[in-house]
Amino acid sequence: MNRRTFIKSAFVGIGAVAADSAHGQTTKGTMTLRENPRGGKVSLLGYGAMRLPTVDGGHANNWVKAGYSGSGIDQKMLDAQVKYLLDHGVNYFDTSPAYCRGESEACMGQALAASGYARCDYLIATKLSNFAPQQYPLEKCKEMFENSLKCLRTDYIDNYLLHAIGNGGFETFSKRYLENGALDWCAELRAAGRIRNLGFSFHGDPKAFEWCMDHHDKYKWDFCQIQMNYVDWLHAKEVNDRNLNAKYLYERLTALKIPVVIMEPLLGGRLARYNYALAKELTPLDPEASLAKWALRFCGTYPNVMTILSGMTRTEFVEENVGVCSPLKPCSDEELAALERAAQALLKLNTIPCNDCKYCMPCPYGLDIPAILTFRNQVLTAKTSPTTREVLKMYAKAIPEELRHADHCTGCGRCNPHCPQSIDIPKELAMIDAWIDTLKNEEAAR
Amino acid sequence: MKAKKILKALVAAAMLTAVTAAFFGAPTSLACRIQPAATVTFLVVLLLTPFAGRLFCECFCPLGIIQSFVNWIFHSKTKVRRVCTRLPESRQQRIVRWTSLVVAGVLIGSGLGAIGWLLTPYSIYGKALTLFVPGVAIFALVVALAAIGKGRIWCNWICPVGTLFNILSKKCVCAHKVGPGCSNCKACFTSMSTPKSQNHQTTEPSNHQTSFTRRDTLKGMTALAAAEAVEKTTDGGYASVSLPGVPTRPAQVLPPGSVDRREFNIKCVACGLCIANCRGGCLKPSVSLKRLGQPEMDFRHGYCLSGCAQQCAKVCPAGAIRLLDGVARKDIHAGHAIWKRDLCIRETEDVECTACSRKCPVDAIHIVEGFPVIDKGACIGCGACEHVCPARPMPAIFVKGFDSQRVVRPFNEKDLVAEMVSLLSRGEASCVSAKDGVIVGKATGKGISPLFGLLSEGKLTHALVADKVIGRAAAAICIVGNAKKVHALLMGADALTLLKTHGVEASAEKTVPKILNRDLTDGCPMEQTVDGIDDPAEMVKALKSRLGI
Repeated sequence: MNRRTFIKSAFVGIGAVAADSAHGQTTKGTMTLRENPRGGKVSLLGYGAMRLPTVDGGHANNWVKAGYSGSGIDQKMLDAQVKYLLDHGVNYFDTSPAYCRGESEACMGQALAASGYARCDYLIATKLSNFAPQQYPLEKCKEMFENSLKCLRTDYIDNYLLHAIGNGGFETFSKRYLENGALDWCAELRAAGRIRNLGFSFHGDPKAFEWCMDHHDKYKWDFCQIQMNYVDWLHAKEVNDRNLNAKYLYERLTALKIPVVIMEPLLGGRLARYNYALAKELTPLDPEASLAKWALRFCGTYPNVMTILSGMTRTEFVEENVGVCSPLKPCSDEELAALERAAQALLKLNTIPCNDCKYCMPCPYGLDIPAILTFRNQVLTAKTSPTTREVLKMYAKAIPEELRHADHCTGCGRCNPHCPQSIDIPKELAMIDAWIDTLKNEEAAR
Repeated sequence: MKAKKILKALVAAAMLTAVTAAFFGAPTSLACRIQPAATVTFLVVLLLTPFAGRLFCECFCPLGIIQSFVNWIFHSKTKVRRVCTRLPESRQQRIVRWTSLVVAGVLIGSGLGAIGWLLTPYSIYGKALTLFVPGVAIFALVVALAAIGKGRIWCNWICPVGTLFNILSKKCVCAHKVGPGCSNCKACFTSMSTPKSQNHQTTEPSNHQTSFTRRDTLKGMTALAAAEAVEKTTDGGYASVSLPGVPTRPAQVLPPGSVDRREFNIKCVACGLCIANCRGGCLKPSVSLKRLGQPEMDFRHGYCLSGCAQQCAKVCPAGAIRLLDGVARKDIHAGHAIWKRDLCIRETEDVECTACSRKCPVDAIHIVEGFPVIDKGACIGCGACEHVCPARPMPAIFVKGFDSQRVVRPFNEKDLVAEMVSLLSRGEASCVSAKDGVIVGKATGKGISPLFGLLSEGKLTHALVADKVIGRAAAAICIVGNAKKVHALLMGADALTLLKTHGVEASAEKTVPKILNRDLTDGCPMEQTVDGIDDPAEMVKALKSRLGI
């Protein structure tokens, strides 16, 4: 038995444990941990607080309509989830001042405080989310940081990120972090120990990424957050010419010994929801595994991945993901090949690369952009294409208010710079509306 | 007797089901045509009335059937004749009945028809089903009266249609006769209720109460602009949206295919069938006193679908909305859009907006230098632009309805070919060409010379050409002349192939393998000239030299 087969057979054994644990209670203390070269251990699964559990079944439309005055976030559920995650060894919690209409940080602060764990038991990541021009000045950035500390009930941040550099092009990046001195100030904060690690999350314009890489000597990035999953690994550029393939990003960062934090491992659920094209490729290899498990295992296979962030809005997701990562079984070459085939099958469906992150929202004209785009994808990924009447019913169900339908788009384009996936939103909405109109007319012509 | 009763009950149940189904998207032509304003079936019922009594009220009128049913539930034990045939009537009853008939007649005759129709059963039932408030109220009243009183009070006291049928059935042969034992106690038709039946006053359909959302929304509507133009700082959430107001139109938009507006107001019985069957969700009952309950367009919740098979016209029982043969919704100009600069967000908020232009199904709105320019000749008044306009509280673009709708009949090639063929067979021409649906060239003469004539005049270019006989020679001329389609009374099979290989459509009344000469003794001399040549240009050259042109 050579070394390779030994490792392989060892993984098979681990895999059997993981499969068992996915169906029952996960054993505590089995979570895969990754070494942070800057010190400390990080759980391979991290909690992304971009999509928190909401009251009323999760659809924000419901609570807007029902007139809830609060944030709509189900704090009790969040408390329980965070407790469960900490109990099972998850110690990385990622949030931002912009998430969940600005409610995410405070809710996470509350949940972490209520968990009963000490501050040193978990890591908090938050961001400098100065997206609006009025937030560019350094004073406002400082204000944002202090507010983050207050909301999160702490006096230091473990991982602080420049949020979504590259969104809106290099010029915006420069205005947000360079011209106003925000980046230098962040470096000072790190020196002062108020933040432990400094990094950035990257979407879009490669120029911003390259600039950061070129200035690694100066700023010494402690980590970098990138979008990585088995579709973006080789096909991000194919989906949108402005993006960079995750493989390139990963290898570039690994060469500079910068640990990688992964976002969108499930593409906002697109790789987790049932999809015939994906299931067809992956099921034969492991009929019991869920699609989400495949996507998480893909990311965990790469050793320089420090943690994988997943937004787990439901208890089932939390339990399943914890099970998959306790411990995580890396993918074999054969499995990686199958995942690549699945990625190609997904691309053939021509879905819109929307991950329902809601960065585009609120639309000034009240449209429910992510719901419209997700609805379109839902129709495309169904095994049998639904009938005209079914599609129209699905549409009415997905966006119950007519005034939020695609046809009310004015084409103002204010959503476009916010989209981390660089989707031309008005164009897609016009396409969807034309399609819906055709269906309506078809239905009326009977 | 029992069999007759059961038969009537069955017919009644079938009719009620059919009429109700028509309101839920299953247009049954019988159900639509039985309505008082409409025609053949109604005439049959009318003719039967003198013999069979008030057959209409018992078996065909939804309101009558429902009242019988309510009666049966509440007074099943009481031996009361529930069916309104010839029973002794009190003086008051007669006065009320006749007044009601006269009032309805005068209202309908005087142009206030919409209110007059409010007394007729189909109109009431339709309005109740489409949840139009006055209709629901009257319907509830009718049902309540039937529940409280013995007998069908509405039919016997108020309904003008019932009164009409009463006159007709005066000498009815199978009418219920009052027996000799009658003491004229009038217990069988008095509407005074017994204490027992008073306990049953809760029959009012309560689900109707919840359905006035439109009105509620109207009330609760605030003058909020949809565009708040707040600079986004956090992710997610929704900007508030509000329904636009209803613009004060110079004229309401009638359903597509409607007759002239004045005629429409008289003809429409406001039964609500079109409203219930509107696929675009834009037909709503009017609340104006003169047109109460009659359909008009309200684009806040939808717009008239340009590809609709005119469901409203299909179900109209009164002939107020016509189903025009061979005309699509796109060909009917029901109104046109008007743009108000001071309301447009382009002016009020200084932002680019292309919503109306993008939504227009007939490309009638063009954005020129940021402003929408409406091509009123192309606009069909569907209201899609008004529906999507983001301006609040009033849409900046709205539709004005035409008094007399314009139908632009599409060019129909089949009819045109038939016209050309008749010209040929009557001998008025031996060769005809048409462009864009209009005949542009006619030529007489023998052989292929008329075709040469049209070619030299340039009348074959992109044209539909019809000729008596088309052989390879004539086909070559058509190809050289760049014709779009060739139709012949008689066509050679080889000519057909030649035309098709050169991308020209071809059809013929009759196809033969080969074109012969006039005496049918040998091949046509022109055909022989082009025999063995495949290039049409060469063929035309050969023909020209043969004919000496």
